[in-house]
Amino acid sequence: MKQSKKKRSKEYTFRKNLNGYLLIAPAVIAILVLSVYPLLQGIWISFLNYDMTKANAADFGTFAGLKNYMVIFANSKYRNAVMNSVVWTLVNIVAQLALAIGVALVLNEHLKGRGFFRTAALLPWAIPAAISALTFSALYDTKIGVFNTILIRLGILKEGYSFLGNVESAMPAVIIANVWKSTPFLMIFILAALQGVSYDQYESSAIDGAGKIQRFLYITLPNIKEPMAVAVILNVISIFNNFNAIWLLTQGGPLDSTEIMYTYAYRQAFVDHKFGYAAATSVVIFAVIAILTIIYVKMISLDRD
Amino acid sequence: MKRVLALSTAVILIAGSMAGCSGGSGTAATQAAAETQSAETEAQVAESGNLTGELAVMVNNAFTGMEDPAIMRAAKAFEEANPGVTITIEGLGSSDLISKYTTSAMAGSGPDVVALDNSGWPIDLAAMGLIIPLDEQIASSGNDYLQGPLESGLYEGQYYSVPWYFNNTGLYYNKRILSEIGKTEPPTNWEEFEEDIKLATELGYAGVSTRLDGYAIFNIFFENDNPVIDVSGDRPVVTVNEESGKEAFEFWTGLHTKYHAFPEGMKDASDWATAYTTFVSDDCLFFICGDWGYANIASGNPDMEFGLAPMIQGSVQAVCLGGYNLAINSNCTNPELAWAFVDYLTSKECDYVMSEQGRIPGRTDVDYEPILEINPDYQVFIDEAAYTVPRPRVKNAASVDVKMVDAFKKVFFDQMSAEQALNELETELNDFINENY
Amino acid sequence: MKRTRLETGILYGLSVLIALYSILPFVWVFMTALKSPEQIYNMNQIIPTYITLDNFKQVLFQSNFVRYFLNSAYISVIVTVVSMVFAVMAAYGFCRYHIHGADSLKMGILFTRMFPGVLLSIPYYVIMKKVGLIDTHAGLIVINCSFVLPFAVWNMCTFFLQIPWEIEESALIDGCNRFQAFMKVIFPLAKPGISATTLYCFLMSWDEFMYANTFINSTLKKTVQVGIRDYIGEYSTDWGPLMAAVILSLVPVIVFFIFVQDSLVGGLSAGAVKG
Repeated sequence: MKQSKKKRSKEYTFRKNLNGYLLIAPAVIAILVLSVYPLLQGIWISFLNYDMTKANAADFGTFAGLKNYMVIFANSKYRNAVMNSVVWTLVNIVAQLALAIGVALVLNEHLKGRGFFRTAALLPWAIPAAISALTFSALYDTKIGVFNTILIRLGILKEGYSFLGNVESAMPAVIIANVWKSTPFLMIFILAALQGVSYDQYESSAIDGAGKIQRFLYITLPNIKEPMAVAVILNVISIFNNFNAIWLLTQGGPLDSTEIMYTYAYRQAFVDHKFGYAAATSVVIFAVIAILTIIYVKMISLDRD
Repeated sequence: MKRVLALSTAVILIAGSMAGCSGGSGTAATQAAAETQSAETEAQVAESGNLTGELAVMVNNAFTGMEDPAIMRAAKAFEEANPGVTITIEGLGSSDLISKYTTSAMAGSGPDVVALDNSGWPIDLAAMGLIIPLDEQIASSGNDYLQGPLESGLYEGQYYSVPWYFNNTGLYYNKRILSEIGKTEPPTNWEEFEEDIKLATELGYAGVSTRLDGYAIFNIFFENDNPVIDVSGDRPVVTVNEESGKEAFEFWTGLHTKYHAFPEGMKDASDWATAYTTFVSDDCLFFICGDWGYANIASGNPDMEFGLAPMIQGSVQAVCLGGYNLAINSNCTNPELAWAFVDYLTSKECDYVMSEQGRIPGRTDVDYEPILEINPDYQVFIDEAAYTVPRPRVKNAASVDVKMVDAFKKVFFDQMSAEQALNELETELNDFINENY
Repeated sequence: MKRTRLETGILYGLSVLIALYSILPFVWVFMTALKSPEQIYNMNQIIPTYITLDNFKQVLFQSNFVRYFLNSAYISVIVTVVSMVFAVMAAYGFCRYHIHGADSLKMGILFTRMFPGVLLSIPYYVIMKKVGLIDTHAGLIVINCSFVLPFAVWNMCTFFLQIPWEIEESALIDGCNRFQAFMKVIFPLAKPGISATTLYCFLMSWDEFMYANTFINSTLKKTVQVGIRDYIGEYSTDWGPLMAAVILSLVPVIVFFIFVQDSLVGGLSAGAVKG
């Protein structure tokens, strides 16, 4: 199958690749036109002296070389934000992936009322970020929050505990809120990918007497591996750059315990007006994700061949 | 290699096509300056005639959220008095407002008139060249603005904003708990305050709560005659670790280390809506909050009886200033019209816009009767106007606020002693000053 | 494959659990929307003692909410249609033709999504102002496409990789042209992927706040996500109307879900096509 695909696609190369270019042109041109200038501008500012509150200073807007990068790398708050970004992204993606696969497998079964269950499972995705933040801060509330009420009733806590207000619990709390809100995206992606697993393959395996787990490992997983890998890339990019999920709940606090690189960059730009530092932080975010993505994509394509 | 080539060719092509859109934020400032200049000549032309043109005004949504907002009526009245003028008013939540204004003004655009939180926004925007100085206009205006709020817009010797409304905090107290600890009157000074808290916490109540922002902490420093950062000289000087600062910080954090006076729920209180719940749950003696909290506290727990007293007095009488000022965008093409509207909106004629909202206008000649009729307790806030102090007028003051609260949290979370936290705060603030000045 | 009764029971149990997990945090929103102000501010009252529809009435008849709602729907539908047409075309082009530097191009497309969006807002503003698109829905549509399209293209490419393209070629041999072949044999197979991506495009656009807040000034041009924040004040929040607005804003999304989730079934797993 793979062999013939390759051969055929080579034939197309010479015959009809013009049509291919025409097909990709609208999307590619639209994306590049809309994004390249702002992107280049952002990268350029990271090399300039760009403290907006020093707009009258002689060196404002002049070339600063790597100064902005040096300043942020030397800042312990920045290093803390990098560490938090790693934790935030890793825990989120692992939890979301595990949950999404589980839910997708269940909702892929033929059950009466499946439509209802699927719609319900997608609901968190449809709730605006501002509202899910309000909802979770109410759930986490020390006085009236459901979590505290339950834990106190069960005798686990003696009195209310501030989940978002304490250094130890703030990160887990924002991660839980984000997993709830973001998993449906991954779930629906996997659910769609599951439709690409042919029924015949399941049938023949059932005849062979393969168990449920073997069937998942040897038939389902290899078939959805590639879409899933891409979903992971797209999701990691979204999680890494998910500003609202944190800012609306904790604004990076308490004591910077939920400050990720994005909230750090935002603070540099819109609180401290140091757009040069903010741009430098953004370029680092950009570079980190870009490098990880390239490595990851290379790994997938090596795997494919 | 080929791939890279293909990509970079595409990028260059696109970048070339975008060259028409030169400018960007890099040149936005100079562009803005140029536009202001041309606007000035335009304004001179318009001087002889009547006011005409369009005016976009951006305010915080506390004034636009309800039905038939008073500010809309005021704008309509202005339009009727000046045919040919059209005013559009946009209301936004405070954090959305400042980020939208900064973005659009940096891009050389934005509303003509903007309402700014006087806790530092006017200074930041003045330093960024995004609002214009108003000294001449203020001098020729018939409005007599309150000095404290007016000074919150003072940057490098010029006034960049005028007070719209001001507020400050008072001491809300739970009447039931106060009588339970055997007191009939709320405290007036630090000693009484501490004693009341001690008694209340012994009975199992929380002592005092507030929103976890700079307000309460600035209050304590100001009450002990410490400006946190002294801006009277050429260069700001950090004063937190001077003797008076040490006293203030130790007094405030001592309420935690000695009595565990602050409720756990205060850790959640990153906004006012959450902060109220710590007080209306009827198990906390004091609550530090301004006029904006009154209605919410009253409706939050109708069964709870509470009173309102002036802030306690330390070595001096002082209270931290809050509220909003009005400023004019440096990209505004018709500053004359913009000022006419600002002058009108801050005049006696428009005081109803404030009183209908339970807010206090930032002038000296305000008729307080309508406000006191709605709520006699407001006398507390009105009296405090005489000694209200703006936060240190430094650039990027929002960061100072965060650093102050973080220093408090370090003690509140039992991470370190008050002395250590204050030392760290001093270092951080000094670094902050060095970076910004 | 027949399931045993126990297995079916477990599946139902799990489905119910998933539904509860998704809906429960939201119950608070529902209950608040049905409360009167006195009940909302009374913290001891979690479940409403009597139900009022005043909040819904206020949102529907005494605010601009319906207008915001229509604006959002209009913007999101156009963004979705444009993005999907472009994305399916591009994905087909990438999958079925030999494009010079295809991998780098695809990577380049993805790169545009890696830079934090907040910092792009100022250069975007400059561009939008230059081309006169500030305070217009057209401008918002363009901006939304800029971040919806990259992911849509990638999504579609991924789903197209799963398709056994041999069948398209057999359709071509049968005398179909490429477009016919695509519509007749590929589209049914790609339907789940297309549905999922459509949903994604719609929601990305529907949920967008930052650009809508920055680029739209006129009250009547605002979107739902911006309009909802009218109820969140600096000093207090209008819980009742806010929550009613949230529930109302979910209606089109749920309708869209029901509509789309139907077409999520299908493709190869339906057994319609022999590989």
